[in-house]
Amino acid sequence: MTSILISSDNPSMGKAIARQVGEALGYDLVGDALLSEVVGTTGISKRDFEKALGLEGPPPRPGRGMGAGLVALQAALTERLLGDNLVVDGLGAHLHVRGVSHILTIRILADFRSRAHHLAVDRKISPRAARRLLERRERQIQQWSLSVFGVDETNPSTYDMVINLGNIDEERAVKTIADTAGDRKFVSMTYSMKCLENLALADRVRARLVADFPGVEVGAEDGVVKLLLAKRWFGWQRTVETLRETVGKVPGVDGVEIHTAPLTKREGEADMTGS
Amino acid sequence: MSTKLSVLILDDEPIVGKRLKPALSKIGCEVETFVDPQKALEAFDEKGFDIVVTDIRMEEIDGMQVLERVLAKSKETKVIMITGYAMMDLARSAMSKGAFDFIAKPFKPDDLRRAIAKAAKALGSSVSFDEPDGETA
Repeated sequence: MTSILISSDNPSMGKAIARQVGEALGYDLVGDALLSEVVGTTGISKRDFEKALGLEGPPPRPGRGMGAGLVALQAALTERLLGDNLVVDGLGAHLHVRGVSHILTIRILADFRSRAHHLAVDRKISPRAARRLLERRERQIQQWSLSVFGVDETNPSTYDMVINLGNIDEERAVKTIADTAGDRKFVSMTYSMKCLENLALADRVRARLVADFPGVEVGAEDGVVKLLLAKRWFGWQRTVETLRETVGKVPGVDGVEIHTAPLTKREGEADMTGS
Repeated sequence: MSTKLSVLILDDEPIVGKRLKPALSKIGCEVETFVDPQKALEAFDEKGFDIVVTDIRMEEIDGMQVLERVLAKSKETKVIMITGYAMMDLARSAMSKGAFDFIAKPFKPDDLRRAIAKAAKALGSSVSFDEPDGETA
């Protein structure tokens, strides 16, 4: 079992490649339909999701709105990824699902000159102005992805494979991706499934908490959820009890740890209020 | 292949083999444990095993070398890698070299039993694995 995440600096091009890869491998495509499901459950418009994912208009400023929407989308996405053989088209999946060895991440680049040409025609601006606009947007996207997700979307090392459609035709790109997906490196294993299950559980908990506790950071390992609270505030004990009760009801949670120190610190160094 | 699945467990920490042996015997495997990779490979050369479970980080001969040597001798053998230093690159590298599964330590005996059951199925055999066990190895 392997899954493939495809993202692109030109979403319609990424979508076309994702669809063809899905058809070539017989994998299910996850994209618009999942987004529509989340739009239906959250009541947030598709356009707002696209903005929040940096797909339309200038990238949103970190921490501005859409927190609940993104968390809901991420939870729905990781839940789906627990299933077999999928191709994910966009959805910011490449920024969220990291370090899962059976997931192949692909970046499709559209030809820069052609993008600049189309932008110049669309906006009735000079080719030089269009190029500058595109370069500025790339810098914005880089800053945004780093500050929101801690990942540089423009850095090739973020991906397993980057394909420039300015140099490689679509058919060849699809074949290359499909061939690579067959590599044993991308076969699921106990370790990679655990990584994914941990992420999916953390996402489920995050989705449950985001409305009342938007600032809580969530990690999960083998059914044990670790919550990181930025500070102790008035009514701390009650907050801890509420968190413990709320999180304890999330399916798959076997234990809850509440920390006020970074999750990256060793257990012994963390200030735990109980487990 | 004998009726019972033969499993070789190699880990330079004796406690690992000591704890895993009964866990795998419980599901009908015939288990031999080793702490010395050289002795484990000699035993493998002599007897052959259906499944090898090996730690990765060991002195002198590491788990990746064990994987290569086992598969060079017997392509049918399923090799399951276990490590306390699991990372994506290492996992991919092990799978690419032919590992059957890769498990991060600490793990529950059920995780290994599940992997053994999968390996047994791939070998056209089966083990009686059904009940979950919460213990951690």
